[in-house]
Amino acid sequence: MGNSKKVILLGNFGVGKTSLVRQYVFRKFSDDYMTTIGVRIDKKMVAVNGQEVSMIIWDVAGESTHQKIPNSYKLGAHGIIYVIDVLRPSTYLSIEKEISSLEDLLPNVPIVKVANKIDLLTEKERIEIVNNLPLNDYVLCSAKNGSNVEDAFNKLAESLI
Amino acid sequence: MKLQDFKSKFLQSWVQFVLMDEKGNLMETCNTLFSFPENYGNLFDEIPFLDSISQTLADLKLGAEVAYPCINVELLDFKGFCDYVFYKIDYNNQHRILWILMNFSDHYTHLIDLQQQRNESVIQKELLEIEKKNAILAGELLKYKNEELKRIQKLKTAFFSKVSHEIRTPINGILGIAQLLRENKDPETVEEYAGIIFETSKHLSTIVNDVLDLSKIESDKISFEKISFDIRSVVSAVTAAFVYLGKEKGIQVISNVWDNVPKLIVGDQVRISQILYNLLSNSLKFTKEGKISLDVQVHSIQGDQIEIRFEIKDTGIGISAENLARIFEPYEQATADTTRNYGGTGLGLHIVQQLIKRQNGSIDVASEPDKGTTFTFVIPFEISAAEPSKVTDDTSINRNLKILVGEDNPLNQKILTEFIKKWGFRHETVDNGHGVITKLGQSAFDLIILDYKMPEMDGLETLQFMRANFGEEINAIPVILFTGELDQAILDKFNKLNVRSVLNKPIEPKLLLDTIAKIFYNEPRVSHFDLHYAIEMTDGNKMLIHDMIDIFITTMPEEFQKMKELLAHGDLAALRKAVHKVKPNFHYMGIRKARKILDLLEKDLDSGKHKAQLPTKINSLQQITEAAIERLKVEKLNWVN
Ligand SMILES: Nc1nc2c(ncn2[C@@H]2O[C@H](COP(=O)(O)OP(=O)(O)OP(=O)(O)O)[C@@H](O)[C@H]2O)c(=O)[nH]1
Ligand SMILES: [Mg+2]
Repeated sequence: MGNSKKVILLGNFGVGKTSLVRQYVFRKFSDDYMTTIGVRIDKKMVAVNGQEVSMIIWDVAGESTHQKIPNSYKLGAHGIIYVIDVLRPSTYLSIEKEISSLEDLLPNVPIVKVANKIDLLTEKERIEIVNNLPLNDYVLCSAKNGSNVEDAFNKLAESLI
Repeated sequence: MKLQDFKSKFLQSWVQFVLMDEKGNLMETCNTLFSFPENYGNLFDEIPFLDSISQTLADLKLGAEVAYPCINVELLDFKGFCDYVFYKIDYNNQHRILWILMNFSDHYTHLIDLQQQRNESVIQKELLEIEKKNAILAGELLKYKNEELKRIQKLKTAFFSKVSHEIRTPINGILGIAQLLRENKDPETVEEYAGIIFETSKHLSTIVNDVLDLSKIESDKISFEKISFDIRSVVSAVTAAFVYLGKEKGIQVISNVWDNVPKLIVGDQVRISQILYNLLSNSLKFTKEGKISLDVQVHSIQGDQIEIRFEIKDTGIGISAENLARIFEPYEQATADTTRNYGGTGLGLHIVQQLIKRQNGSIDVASEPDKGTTFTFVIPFEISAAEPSKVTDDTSINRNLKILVGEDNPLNQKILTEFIKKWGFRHETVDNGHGVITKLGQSAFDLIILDYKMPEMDGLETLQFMRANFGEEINAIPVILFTGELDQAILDKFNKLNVRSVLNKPIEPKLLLDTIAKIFYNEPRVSHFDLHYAIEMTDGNKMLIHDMIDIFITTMPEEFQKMKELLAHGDLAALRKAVHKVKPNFHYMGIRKARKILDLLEKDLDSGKHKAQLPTKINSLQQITEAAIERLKVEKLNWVN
């Protein structure tokens, strides 16, 4: 084991968690939506600053709040990727509350916020929507065209070691 | 709990147990769901899920358990959904981990469908709501736009009633005076009335031009030329007019084009003049005392692309912040108090803004009430590699042309023929296309000037007829066409018919002459003077330049007086010295036209040849000098501090 890290993907259903993992691990994308139930585990080895890290990614079924997700899923997580869908305000309206309760539950666990489906916005909409998101520091991603997906996972990996 | 108990409790076909030590080494299992192959390695190393919870398992207290529902499992030959429970147990006095896998694939597969339906319908609803909200927003925007449209419509109506008033007043004036002219033939009164008619018509023409420009802009019919021109002569020509107008009001008008502005740029000279003219008139209108300056400099330059920045600054009444925001709005201005007090259509600034915008430029205004206003605009041009366009002044062209004029409007006919006569050309004039065709059959012409709109057979039909029915010789005669509306479509039409030049109405004699010169004479325009050398020599010191011009103006007539006396006395040696003495003066003032004659004069005086021609040469040198002095008198005003 040694350098294995448990990374969980949280966020509302349909925001693109599974798509992000598929893009990151297999470089694949599908427009069809197949919801995830429970959790699916994938593994990817990454080198961070010359150090090998084995990321064990927990792609958790989306829920409107992480409270609805079994505690054991979150237990022992080393990092969290919290995904929102830029097109659906319902996926980020309560993100502040979500993040702060996660921080209470898992103190000192790094959280990377990902704003996904950025490919669906025009440049103008992108600026307007991103400026109006609660909190800042989102990694703007598209699981569809792959932009910034690697960056999002790398950003988390870097804070894991 | 004992393993035996687990066995008896759970051993069913949908359950598997795996017993391992705390380091993940497999100890015992039943093979209900899958079986581990022989020499299967450490479970933590082999199974990522276990790897990721190894710390959790290590932290688990003896007798405690941790459960993971609904795991999507792909393990060895098993694929499905399981619930996992991990127990920390004591087994033969050793701490062991018991992993129970319960296969609930059927149940969870059924759940997937339900969850999928739930999620999809929620997402659908959300997206629908967003669409609805957007539709409402779009509706509100539309409502706003409609209201704005109504507001503009109202202003437009007010504007047109005002404009028609503005037009009717001078027309009535002109009619009245014309009536008086009929009755009164006393030369002094006629002169006075003619002056009034001239001024009133000029005013009327500005209003009509503004309205026409506006309608062209609004219907997007405006087009821009791309011809290389000398920006300095445009600036000095426009400024010269305002120097005089300013003087009448006691306002100083100065202009400055920075040295690094290239001599020739490619663009629409007429539109640039129009913009400058409008802005300077605006400044002059609102300035009671002080000065108005026009500053032209390079804004940016990249390769042969240049942006030129024009700044027009006045010390006038200024504009309040509230009005500043609406200053470029077309119909607002027309109804505002300012136009009531200061006259005009109030369209000027809107037209200026649009003319600049459509040349990919931008305009800004800064103002402080009672302090003054500064308009700054930037327009991109190309730096020209070409020679200056060939423009001529009326002293330099050959006068043997015979021109056929087709124009029906008696006034325009009069203007055209008067100027043609004044320039020394011959002409025959007819008032429609039939006349043109007939005349062309009867005698030879060097040039045809046609009006587009004529009764019976208009300019276009005439040309089409000519091109279809006449031979090469007649079709080689250059054609200049006048039209009231000049747009790209018309230009294209006439270019196809091989028209040499299409000019806008009202007729501008100077432009017509330039065009004729361009067609027949390839003489480049030689300006009367050019102060570049003087500016360079004095480092742009205004006072010095002013004094240099002044000295030239006052001393040169005396010098000619002297030279003529010497010539009369036959003292050619002294005359040679005198010519030699004045030569640098011409150089300082950049009077290039004089250069050749000066050289010839010097040569003749040195060699003693061509004595008979000396008086003619000195006379033409004097004429050139006098023409330059006339213009330098105006220019001098630009160089007062
Ligand atoms: N255009 C676009 N569509 C995306 C992107 N990411 C995901 N999708 C689409 O969004 C839908 C949901 O994607 P999933 O990856 O299944 O979302 P999820 O977060 O895993 O959803 P749950 O498993 O239900 O929580 C699918 O139809 C994807 O094709 C993206 O970056 N751009
Ligand atoms: Mg999913």
